[in-house]
Amino acid sequence: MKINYLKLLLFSSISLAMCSCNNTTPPSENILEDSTETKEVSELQKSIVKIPSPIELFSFIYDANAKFNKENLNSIDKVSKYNTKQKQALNLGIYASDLGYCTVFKHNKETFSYFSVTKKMADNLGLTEGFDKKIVNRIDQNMSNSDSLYQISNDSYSTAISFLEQQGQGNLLPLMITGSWIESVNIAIKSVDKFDANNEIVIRITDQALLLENILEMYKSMGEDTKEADIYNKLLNLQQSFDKLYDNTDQIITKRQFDEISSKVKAIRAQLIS
Amino acid sequence: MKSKIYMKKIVITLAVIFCNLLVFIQTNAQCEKEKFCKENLGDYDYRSQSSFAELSPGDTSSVNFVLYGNQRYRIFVCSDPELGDVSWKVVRPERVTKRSIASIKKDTAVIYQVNETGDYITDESGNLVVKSKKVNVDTLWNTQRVAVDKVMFDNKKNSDKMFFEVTPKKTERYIVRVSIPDGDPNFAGCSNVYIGKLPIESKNFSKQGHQRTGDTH
Repeated sequence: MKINYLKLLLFSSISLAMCSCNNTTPPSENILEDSTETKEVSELQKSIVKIPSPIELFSFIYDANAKFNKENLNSIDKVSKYNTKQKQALNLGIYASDLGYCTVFKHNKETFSYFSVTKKMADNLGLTEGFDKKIVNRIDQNMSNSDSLYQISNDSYSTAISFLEQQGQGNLLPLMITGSWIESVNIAIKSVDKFDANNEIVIRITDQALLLENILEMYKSMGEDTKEADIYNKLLNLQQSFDKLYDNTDQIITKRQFDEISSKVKAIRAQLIS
Repeated sequence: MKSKIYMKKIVITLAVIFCNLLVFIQTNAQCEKEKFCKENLGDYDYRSQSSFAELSPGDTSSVNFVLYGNQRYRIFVCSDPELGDVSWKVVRPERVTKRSIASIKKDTAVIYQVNETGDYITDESGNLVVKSKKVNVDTLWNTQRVAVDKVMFDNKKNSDKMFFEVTPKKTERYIVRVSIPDGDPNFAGCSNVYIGKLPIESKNFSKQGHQRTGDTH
């Protein structure tokens, strides 16, 4: 009996240690092979990777006078289909991104619908902190105030991300971020009426190469068993298309490269929402 | 009786674990709520990429993030004063393409004679008649993209500045590297990396509740 009790304590201590050290990696893994500055190593190195919220990309799209198109959103009717943790995390990100799109474009009715569905997904994942009752009340009270809805949506997104980080749910965080990022890039692509390398939205789409690099960094910190290899490999494949942009000299992106990236983004998105 | 004691022990253990976990969650959450250096915040929005962590003496930490081009950002690190003289740098990993020759291929291209209608001419044996031969030299390159860090700001060299402000011309990745001086390893305090973006008055965001025409519902 005593041995079992000790085993339980030991197991719980290990579990706790794993949880709290999610972002901690041995120094050697953090050294860029090719870097001149990063060879300073100390006893313990914590590495955190961030990407801008999709709301920033939507603000650029909005400023470029793109039109809101409801067809770009993932249908809220699909919510009951997502019954695994992985699918829920991915689609929480997708719906959170859709919520951001609706708020930035001031579509208040859709904002409320997408807030409800995002909250449902967050509840399923136990993320009540990010979408608690106070926020629901704030939404209710500000239904006619687009700027307040924008602030609330921004708050909920960043709180949900922080909550996942703090809880050490390292395996769910990259999935949620992947979902929200893919959805925002897909919406950006669909907001391009006609390809032009100098178009503001097209330029912002090329910027996404750097966000993708950071997302892939997040996956690298995950264990092999939780890495979601299929999604990771598809993102790597997409990165290859973005990498081709570095060889361009005359223009930032060609029509062919844009089509290739668009096609891969759409394919990944279709898989995530299926 | 024994099983009752055992159950009691399990309950106590689970309660201890739960409390520890709560402390862990809350200490990080506390770091987020802790507003160090309020005077540095300004009108920037810090929600998107700021990072809040609890560190101990001797720890180093890095936050890797992306700044969009043509946007104004303010970056600074503020820590629990008990952590001592924390040093931090903002670095920009610059991509450098290094090319080296992998191999040189030499191929001989043969050009055959054609008649006035563009058809190939053959000799008596039926072989195509060679007009000229050209040696094509094809160099195969190894392209290696490497990241070289460029230090943009070092708080030790800018003791008069509390924060680093930048408006990148194009979208770029940045890293903030934080280093906590040595001290009592059992102590842990918050060290927060603030990454703020100046909200730019949107061209289309001026009127509250205004919805543009032409949107597809």
